[in-house]
Amino acid sequence: MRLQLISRSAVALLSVSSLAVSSLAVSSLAPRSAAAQSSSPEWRLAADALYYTDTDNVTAVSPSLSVRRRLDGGGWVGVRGAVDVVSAASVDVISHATTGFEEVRSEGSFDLSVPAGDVTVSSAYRFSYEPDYLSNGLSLGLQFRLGSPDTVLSINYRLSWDVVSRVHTSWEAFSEDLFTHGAALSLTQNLGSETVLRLVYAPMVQHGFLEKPYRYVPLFGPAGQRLANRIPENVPDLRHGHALGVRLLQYLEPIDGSVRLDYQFYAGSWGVTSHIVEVVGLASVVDGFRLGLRGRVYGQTAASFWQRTYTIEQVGHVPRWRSLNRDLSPYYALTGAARMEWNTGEFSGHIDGAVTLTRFEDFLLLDERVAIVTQIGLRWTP
Amino acid sequence: MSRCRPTAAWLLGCALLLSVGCATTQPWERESLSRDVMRIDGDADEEALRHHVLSTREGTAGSFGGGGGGCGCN
Repeated sequence: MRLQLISRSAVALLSVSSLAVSSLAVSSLAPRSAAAQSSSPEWRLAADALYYTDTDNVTAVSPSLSVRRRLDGGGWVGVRGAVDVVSAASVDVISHATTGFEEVRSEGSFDLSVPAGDVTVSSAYRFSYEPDYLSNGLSLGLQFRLGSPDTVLSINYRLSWDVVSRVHTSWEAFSEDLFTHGAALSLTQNLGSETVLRLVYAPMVQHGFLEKPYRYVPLFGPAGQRLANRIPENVPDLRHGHALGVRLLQYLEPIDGSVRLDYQFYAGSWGVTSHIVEVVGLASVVDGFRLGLRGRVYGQTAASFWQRTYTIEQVGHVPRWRSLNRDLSPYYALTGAARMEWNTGEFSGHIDGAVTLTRFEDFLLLDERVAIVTQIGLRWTP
Repeated sequence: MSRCRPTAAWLLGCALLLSVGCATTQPWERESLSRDVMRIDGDADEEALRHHVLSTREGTAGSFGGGGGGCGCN
């Protein structure tokens, strides 16, 4: 779990994202129309793989497999397993007197979605293991119409309990807890026969050990000289934030496709604010075959206590809050992606390739990173 | 966060709430909404992997799930 060095903090903060995915594991499989319901498959097998590599010497391979079955009377039950194999020699890692590492993370999850009258109740449990990091996640969700089928309200809550440790150290000698509470309130509205609008509000709270046990902050003297000693990262034990998102989806009849526009704003108690804009276009080329393009812009400000370098003005006076976490620094990222989808009845699949340029504007160890992400997925719905 | 941001958020929320019930699509008008390209949530397994990458590469990404709806059939 030296993966923590790479940017684990974001995983915890992004509880909303995980919440969304776990709850959607069932909701996205919900019947799409009365006609579709009668022909909805009993089983669904999904195999996915993701390959990530970047110019900061991080490589990751993440295969996953899931099986879901439609329940009598509606609803779904599913299990999913995933593995991350990461090798890293990033500046975060090699700046801590090691040449790099390889590590494996294993994750398993279970989800259930059951209709109860006009309400669909969903729940999910997830467990993730690394040699020095354990994570338990539980999510609950309610989804129901507001008056007509054109308006759907969804409420989700997720609790994550993580235990942080160190490699080559027993859990008894060092382990710290981190709790994350995330919620999402979303309202989805059909605006006519070809347009859908969604508004999402997602608050989140974290408390506990928000530092990384491997991350030590370099110190500098008044004249700018680097001091010999590093000190452990230290950040507040409480963090909360609020995200507001808008999604607009429009059908494009001439190309039998769609365009989707997303915008998200985030503001948190540590002073970080961020904006995300994403545009996704899909077009049918021939029957059962589609092409797509995606563009994404991400930008954020720094945490209030963020400094490129932490300076000791007087002996013994170290800054109370200090961090070397690049996710607390100001930066922006630009992503361009293309995808291909096919559907031959029982079998369907997709290939997605993306390139992301990230520019760190005030991070001591790295100015720029280029990442390539390739994703492939196969579906079997007998 | 400046004062205008929560104000804008409330205005946006109120606008959406006011739109509730304004658009009623009949079952025979939902052909386009039920197409695969109009899935507002995307594929859950694909999104799980993608969000995993985003969550470790973008400090504050992701709130668009929360799910369901769109096709008018939930």
